[in-house]
Amino acid sequence: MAGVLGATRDWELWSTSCRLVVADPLTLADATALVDDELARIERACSRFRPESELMTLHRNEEGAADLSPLLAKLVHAALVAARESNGAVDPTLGAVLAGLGYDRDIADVRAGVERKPLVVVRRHAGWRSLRLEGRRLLMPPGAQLDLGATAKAVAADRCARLVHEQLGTGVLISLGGDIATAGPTQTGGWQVTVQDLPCDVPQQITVHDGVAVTTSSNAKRTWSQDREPRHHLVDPLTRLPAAGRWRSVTVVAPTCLRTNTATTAAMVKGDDALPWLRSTGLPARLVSHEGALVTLGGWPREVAA
Amino acid sequence: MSSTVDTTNQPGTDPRRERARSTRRVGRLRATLVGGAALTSLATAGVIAATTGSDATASGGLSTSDATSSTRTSTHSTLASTGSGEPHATSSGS
Repeated sequence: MAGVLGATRDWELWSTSCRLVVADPLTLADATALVDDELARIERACSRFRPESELMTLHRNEEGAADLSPLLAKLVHAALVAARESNGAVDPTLGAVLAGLGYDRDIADVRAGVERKPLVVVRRHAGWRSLRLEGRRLLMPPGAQLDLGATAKAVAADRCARLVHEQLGTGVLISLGGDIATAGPTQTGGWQVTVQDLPCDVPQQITVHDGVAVTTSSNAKRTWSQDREPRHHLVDPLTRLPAAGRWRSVTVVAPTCLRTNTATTAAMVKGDDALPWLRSTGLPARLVSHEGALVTLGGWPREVAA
Repeated sequence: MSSTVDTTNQPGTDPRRERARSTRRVGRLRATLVGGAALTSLATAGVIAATTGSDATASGGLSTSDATSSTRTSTHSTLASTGSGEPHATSSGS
């Protein structure tokens, strides 16, 4: 698609909707190739659902240390940054917990009931503080299983936007599921983003400026059932169960998707404690409760009737 | 759908300034609730098409109405403003 928006490509990846927008339509093919290559590299590095990925084939020595590729080391570093900034609400050591809850394959296969597995209660997890990353060497305790899903997707969006802008010189927006990263200018003075989680929600359109990211986290989309219990993918490290807080979706604006995703995921997990925590970050945020009540803070653009 | 604008203060404020600010904030909060009610009725009717106004106003549209948090918030207030025109993308959960 071309026009005032530039050129656009939509596709499905990782069981979610993706979009690439370039301000210069002539760069779309090259941008597509760059993005596809980068996303494939990230998937090979850290997919929990590919048995041959680097993450799933990590070889730890007797001391529990594994030497990571430069890319996986960056992804683990990003996950640890998110854990620290969220006070542990975003924890990369929940891999076994998620698998025990039934999310051990692509979500489409989980929903389809392929090899449906009963509940496996994981009574403890290693916790992010048990990890130590020294350069490219990762030390982790026996049995620790990493899940980099949330932060890796965010980092992927950030990396792809930066890559396309640096290599091709065009303004670019990339959306990977709930993570939207931008780099470089548009022709129209800002990137227009509609914030709307479910079709029944009232949409709000905002303008984000060059190099700004937007993430929405929601517990209404990536869902499945296990032993007739509803599940979603945002797990509270304290309970090791899907977060049961008051928010259905949280949207945050920040300079990078890593920061926005960390903030939205943490807010979903923190529930009632999300507001004071988000306030402490100063980031613009929009929260929607299960009942549809809307709360905005941190300078979120005003929502008024047309 | 109801709409609430968070106006909670940041800690560490001057008590005298805070009292004066609280008095002003009551007025803002009332106005906010009025605005929220209007928004709710219009939202139900499905007529909200776009948003306008990105500055703190008497109708209490922004949390930046809290002067204590304005320093912190002003750092980020330029990250996003109200939008218009054809959207490039939709932000929703994955």
